[in-house]
Amino acid sequence: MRTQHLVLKRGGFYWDRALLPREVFDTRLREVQAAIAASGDEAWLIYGDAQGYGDIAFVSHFVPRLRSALMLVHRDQPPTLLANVGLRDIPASKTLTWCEDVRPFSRLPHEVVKLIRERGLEKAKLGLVGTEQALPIAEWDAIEGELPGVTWTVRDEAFRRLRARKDPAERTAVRAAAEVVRRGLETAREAFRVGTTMRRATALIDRAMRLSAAEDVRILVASGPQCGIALRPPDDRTLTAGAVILLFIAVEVQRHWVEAAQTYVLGAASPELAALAAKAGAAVDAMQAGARAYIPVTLLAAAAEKAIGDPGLLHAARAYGFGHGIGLDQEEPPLIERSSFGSVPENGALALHVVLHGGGIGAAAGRTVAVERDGATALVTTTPLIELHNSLDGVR
Amino acid sequence: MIELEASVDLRSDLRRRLERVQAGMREQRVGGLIVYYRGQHNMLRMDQVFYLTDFRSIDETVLLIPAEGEPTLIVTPVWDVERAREAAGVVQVRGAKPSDLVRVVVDAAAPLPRPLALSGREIMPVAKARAFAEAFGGELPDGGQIIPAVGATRTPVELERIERASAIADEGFRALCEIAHVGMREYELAAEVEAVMRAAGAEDNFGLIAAGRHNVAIRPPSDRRLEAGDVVIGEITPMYRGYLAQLCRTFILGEPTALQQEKYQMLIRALQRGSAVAKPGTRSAEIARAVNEVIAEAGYAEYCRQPYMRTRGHSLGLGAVVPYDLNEDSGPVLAANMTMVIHPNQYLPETGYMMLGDTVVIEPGGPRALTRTPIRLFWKSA
Repeated sequence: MRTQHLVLKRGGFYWDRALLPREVFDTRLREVQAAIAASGDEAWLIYGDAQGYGDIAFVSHFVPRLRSALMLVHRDQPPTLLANVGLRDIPASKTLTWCEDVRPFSRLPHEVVKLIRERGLEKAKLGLVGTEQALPIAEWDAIEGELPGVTWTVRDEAFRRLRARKDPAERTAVRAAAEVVRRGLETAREAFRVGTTMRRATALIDRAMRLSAAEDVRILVASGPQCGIALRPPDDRTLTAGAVILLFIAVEVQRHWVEAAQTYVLGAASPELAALAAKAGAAVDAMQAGARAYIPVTLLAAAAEKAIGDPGLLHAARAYGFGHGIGLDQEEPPLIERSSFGSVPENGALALHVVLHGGGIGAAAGRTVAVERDGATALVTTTPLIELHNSLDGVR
Repeated sequence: MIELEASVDLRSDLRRRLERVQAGMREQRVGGLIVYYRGQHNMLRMDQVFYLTDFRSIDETVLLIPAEGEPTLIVTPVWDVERAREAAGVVQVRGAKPSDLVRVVVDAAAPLPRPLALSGREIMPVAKARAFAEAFGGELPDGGQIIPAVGATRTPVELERIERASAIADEGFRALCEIAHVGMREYELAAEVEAVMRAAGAEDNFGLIAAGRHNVAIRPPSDRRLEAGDVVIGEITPMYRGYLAQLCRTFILGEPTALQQEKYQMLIRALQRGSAVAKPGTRSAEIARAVNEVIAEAGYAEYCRQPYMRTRGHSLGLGAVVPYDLNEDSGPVLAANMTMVIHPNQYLPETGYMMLGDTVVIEPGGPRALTRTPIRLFWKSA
């Protein structure tokens, strides 16, 4: 789900080599180089920024925490990584990637043009990955203007096919991220209390996940009357007895994302809330039950819609969508919508979610599942509704 | 948490900002200004949509401003439209699916007076910029400087928020000093500081905390464990209701050496001399010159450049506005109510990188520090 981008990815940044050994990237590099050769290009420029870094992290494990980065992958020469950092930041940047040639830049066009000339590629056929959706137009105009002899081709689709084949390393990393989300949800059971504010409660949840080496944490919530309207970033609302709380968490660990959503009530649930939460939970369960490799995602959306039923509730639920692929990007193909054309990838992960608003209350259910050829298993356990009996003085 | 803004009416403050922007548009003969924001929040870039609406987006937003009359905000994702409607500066709002944004903007821009100008093209991704150009029958003229020209100085509401962010930064550093201990991982320390600031009201944080016996520069926290004698450097930058303040300090896990004390005194003198010239009417370059002068006098002139330092400070508050980075070649002239951080952060061969900096507001008589943490080297027994 879309979440609010932070001004800086500021969690624990390092390369966990036990989780993602160097060999993983050697294999991926060979696959990318084979794809470059098959395309007839000399090299590909793979671009990413702090908002969308999946393509560049797939090959390099590098993640831009603030601005952007670009990797030139040649079909048969070692790659070069350009990072939008200062010269003094290069030692720290190099700890995040296996790539040996990491160079700083303040103006991307200048450094890209220099690199392409240095490699003798001024008249080559070059592929572009990630540039259409993320590279600022002003930078592209400058690069293209300086290199009139290059033949450019967008290779997003070819790269997407490479990334769609999820390797065991990616699945392992997603499981590690799921463990951090689990800790966040566990903390939420204690953090949400009558008398505290949403900001204080989510600070505790955020802390628990950052202490578990989260690189980035995104939290959306709703409480009280907000539950009937929409999710939002945490604010200073005080949680009162009987308040309904919707919690959505997205966490990045070692560049890989996992999401989950959960509904709580501070006290006993009303029959209406119990019914709504059960509906949201049933819709997620229905998607998980139907998820298996290669089936069209529209079937999953249909299963969720059937479980929701009520046209009024469906309107809100469709606005959020019912989920998407997840991994190196928080939101990967395929989007789970009735109008989507994608199919479920084998060995990938899906973030499933259902958010309902109606009658002044709301419910959110969601979990990330690992998809195999014959079914899907939950990586994060959630239940439709959790009743909490916490107060600020700690009495339960 | 201290509640602010009781003394200043937010809606009136936003209304005055809009009126000044619209006056700027008329002056430049712009009938309608289309402001694009990508949703990639960044300390170094002004969020022009937030400045006029008080709405901090989740994804792409576009604000359509007529030279006279009410602006219209277009919000993605569509489910965020009700939150936008609650924002104090939003009168008219429409939701759009990300894939449908350009069409919705073209439709909403139809009643705008001509000629149109566009702010934010330079940050538009390639495909989006092409779609805009195609939809509007060519590239629109650049209107990117109209809002920053107005937003260079802080309004009362903005100043109150930056003051609150500064107080939160002080709380964050106090927590750092209390919590840091041998054996703790850097990212754990960063998480603890972040939690304290979030609980105090911070919604975001441009926070960098690193440690080592001899730091080369500030960097993101890693999984390294703190050791006795570590120099912990912190660039603590909480955001309060959209506005950032920054505090830079150095903390030693153990007794500081005489050399560390001596060199830190040099940074203190540099901060004082830089601050002394930060007055309305002065070129911002003078701050950098004054700071560098002290460091050069101590024999480190050759270290007053990259990679040993980056800049002597920069504007702060709502992203980067005038005077931007404080370097010896900076051109902007300081004016009352500009806010910035002045930080003579410096690598020295004997001590490694040490940090010192405060957020200040420029007042007629000089700068007033908004961060209140004492200006000294901090330490505690390991």
